Amino acid sequence: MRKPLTPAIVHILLALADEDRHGYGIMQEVARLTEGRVRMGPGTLYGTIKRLLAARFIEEADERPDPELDDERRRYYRLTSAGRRALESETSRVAALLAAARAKKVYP
Amino acid sequence: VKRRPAFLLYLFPRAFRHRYGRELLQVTHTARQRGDITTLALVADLCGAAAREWLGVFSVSHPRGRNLMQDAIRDLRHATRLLIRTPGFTLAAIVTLALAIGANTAIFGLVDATLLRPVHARQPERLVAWPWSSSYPDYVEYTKRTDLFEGVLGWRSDRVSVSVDGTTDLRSAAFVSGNAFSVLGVKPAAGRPLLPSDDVLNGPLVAMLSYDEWRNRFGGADSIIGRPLELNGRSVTIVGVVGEGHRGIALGESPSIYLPITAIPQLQTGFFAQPRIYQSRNLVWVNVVARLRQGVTREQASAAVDVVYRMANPPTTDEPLERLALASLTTQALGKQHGDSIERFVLLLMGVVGLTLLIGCASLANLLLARSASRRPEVGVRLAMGATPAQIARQMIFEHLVLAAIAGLSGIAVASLMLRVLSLYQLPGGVSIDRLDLSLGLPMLTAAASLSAITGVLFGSLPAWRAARTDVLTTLRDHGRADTPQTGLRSVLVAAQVALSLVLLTGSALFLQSLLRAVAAPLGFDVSGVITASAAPSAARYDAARARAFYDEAKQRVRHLPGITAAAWSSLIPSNGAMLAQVDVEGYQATAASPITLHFSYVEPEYFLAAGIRLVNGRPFSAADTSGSAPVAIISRAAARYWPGRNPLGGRIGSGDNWRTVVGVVENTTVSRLGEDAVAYVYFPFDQVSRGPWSAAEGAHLFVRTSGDVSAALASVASQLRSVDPQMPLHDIVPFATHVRGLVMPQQMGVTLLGAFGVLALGLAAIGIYGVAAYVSLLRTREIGIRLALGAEARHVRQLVLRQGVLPAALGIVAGVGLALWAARFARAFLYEVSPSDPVTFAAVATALLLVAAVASWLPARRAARVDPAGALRAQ
Repeated sequence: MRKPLTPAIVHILLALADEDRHGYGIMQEVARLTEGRVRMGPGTLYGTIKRLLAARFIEEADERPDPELDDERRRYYRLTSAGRRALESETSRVAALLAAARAKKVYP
Repeated sequence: VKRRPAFLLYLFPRAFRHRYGRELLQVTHTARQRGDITTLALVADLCGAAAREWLGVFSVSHPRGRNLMQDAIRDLRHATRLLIRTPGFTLAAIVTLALAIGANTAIFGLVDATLLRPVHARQPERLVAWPWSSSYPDYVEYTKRTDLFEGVLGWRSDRVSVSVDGTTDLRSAAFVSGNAFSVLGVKPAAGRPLLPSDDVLNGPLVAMLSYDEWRNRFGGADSIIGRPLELNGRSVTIVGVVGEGHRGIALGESPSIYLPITAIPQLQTGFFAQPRIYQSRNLVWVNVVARLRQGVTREQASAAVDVVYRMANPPTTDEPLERLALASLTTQALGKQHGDSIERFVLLLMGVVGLTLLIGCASLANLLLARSASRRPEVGVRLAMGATPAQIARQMIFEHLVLAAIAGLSGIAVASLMLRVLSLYQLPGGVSIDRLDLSLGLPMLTAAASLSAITGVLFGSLPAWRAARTDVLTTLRDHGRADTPQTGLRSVLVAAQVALSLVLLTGSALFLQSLLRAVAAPLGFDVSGVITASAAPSAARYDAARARAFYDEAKQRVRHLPGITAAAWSSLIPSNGAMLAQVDVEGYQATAASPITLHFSYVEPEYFLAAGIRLVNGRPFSAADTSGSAPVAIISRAAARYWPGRNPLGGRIGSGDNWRTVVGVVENTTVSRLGEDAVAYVYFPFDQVSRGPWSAAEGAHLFVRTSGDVSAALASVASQLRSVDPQMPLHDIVPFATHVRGLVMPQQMGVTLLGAFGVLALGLAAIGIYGVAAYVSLLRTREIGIRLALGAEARHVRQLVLRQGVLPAALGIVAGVGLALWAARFARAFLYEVSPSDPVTFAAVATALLLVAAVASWLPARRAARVDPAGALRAQ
């Protein structure tokens, strides 16, 4: 049985699931996905990014300016296949949990 | 503004900063600009993330099946194995920590029993005490203020004689109001408490035993409840036992027996036998303590009680009554006179053991640095084999927790040993420490546990952090050599140790000097060859005539024992109590602001001979000075100041129509502490008490001077006294020196404790210095080999190593002198005729420390100079 991933890891993996993003982009996406309930600080963000890189769950993509922000070059990150698998297995774990909770009428 | 969080980046490890710093600032900047995050949240986030980076926790592992319990057991086994493999280190660390933890635990117990919780009661912070004794009618008045107080109790301490199986002993007793135990919130350990229904005049006599009395004298048997006890010659029924831990309302009081306050006339003679003590507002003898009602402050209660007091006691003179301000019982319990001294003394002790803990920590940190350096190869290999930094860090913290736990347990043993040593001593003011509630209870065990937990985590995380940051490649490339010289940090630690040791050593040297001077100080009396014995006739309900008959008969018999050169009764023992009287001196104009207040006692003719008080002028009392003859007095030299420029002999002293003629002047005596200003004293003849404020029935003390062996005389005096009247309650048949011992107690305790800790600190510092010098010479073996091969003289090599040990020690001495000068101020009150900044003491201690440092670094220096150059070069 796999150990559950930490919330910060799941959020970042999820944010990168559809497209490559830079640090601030991840922050924004996490806030959007959770309807503002989770606000990841920059320290937590890069601490987690460092570990995800080390675990090869994500990798560096390229470095370019974001047209929506200023003209500074920003580093983009991309989900690897290992990261995708980890996210999938975490999701199925939560899904199983949810199903069990429904069966016991803990959750609607 | 854009760069503002830049400095926070420096919280992160350098590698992290280099790799992610720019991006982190970018994101922070954008987020700040768009208002996504508050400053507080940002700072908290950065600090938290930085801490996690340093500790290397929360890594994304590819987890397999894990079991926390199994992990813990594996770590425990591993830690134990490692500790056993390095017995020298383990033993040194455990001994150091155990001593420090033990000493701190014991002194914490003392702080707890004196400053924090001197009175064992429920919610003691809501108990308030009247600053002085009240009359009984006033006390009753106070009890009516139920709007302010949940309850008001009255208390009087006294001594009673208790006869069990034919032997009579004096016991301390408390006469308490019926509500006392409910006000204090103390539950009985057996039977029932004293109740308001017991607190009635001429009621049946009932008593409660203290827990210790019940345990020690009655074996802790429940069958004692309902049994009669012979007390002051009356039969008293035991109804209960006071709960464990309660020892009265004043420090060191520890009553053995509790009786209703209204039982006093039935059990006492003389003054307290009169029922009038419950009616007169002029007779002031009740100590009052109250429990504040919820929401009432001490100030509010003081103001209201002050009004009650004024209404009940309208001022008789123009002088305004002193304002009645309630004190917290915790403060009052230390005693008005010595409370400050006790507080200062206990805090001084706490400072001393705190210093010892710091020194121990410095020396332990030094040991750990050496150890972590020597373990780098091991850590490198483990990392290379796939262990995560987090695993290694956790295992190291575990190892030091095991160490700290063992040290903590041994520390408890050290603490109980130290409590036993402490109990031999007295606090300033003469309270014996063994009368305090100083058992190894929950508070002390908690203190020991938290101290060991803190030191364990603290010392565990340092090497853990270093180990977790070990770089695998460099470590393995260097063939597992333990290199990285950490001499800088180690030298700082040695300097700190030396500095702190210097503080302790100068402290003990100052105390030692003042003890030596104190012992040699003129006390005004000569204690060698003198025995004192005390009698308390009132505790056997003897009246003055019967007491006096006993005194006469006892003195005659003792006087005829072989070797006895003088014997005399006195109303008190100097240094062990005081009575003060306000008098007038004929021809001396005293002011209302500074009236003539003299210490006084009633003494028999041979008293000055027996106590060894030198007659300076005039004559001693004689057998002719009786109640029938002219009233006379003898004054101390200090009291002669009331006859400025005149001869006090023939002068008159007294008040009202009670005047006496001064017939002699004697040497000053020490009354309460060494180094006090000379006390003005007046002595009255023992036989001229009829008009005085003291009655022979209250008790007196026999002074016996022997030319022979004191211990032999003790036995013969005791048996003579008991043979005169087996019913007479006698106590404290001891050498006079025992009473005087209290005067030098603080100095003695200071010498013992500071001396012990000072020597301990010195030993630790010497080991630390040796360690650094040896370590340096080891690291530089190759360099030394080259130097020697190139023709360097052994002398220079020795100097090189010597410097590594002596230099930090010298720095430590300089810092330590500054620190000691500052710290010595706190000991000033307990030093006798020694300046806290005595230059000779400081110079001597500094020199001694420097010598120790030189010797400790000389050994490795000599070894270094003998290095075989060829061997050293080949080996590396």
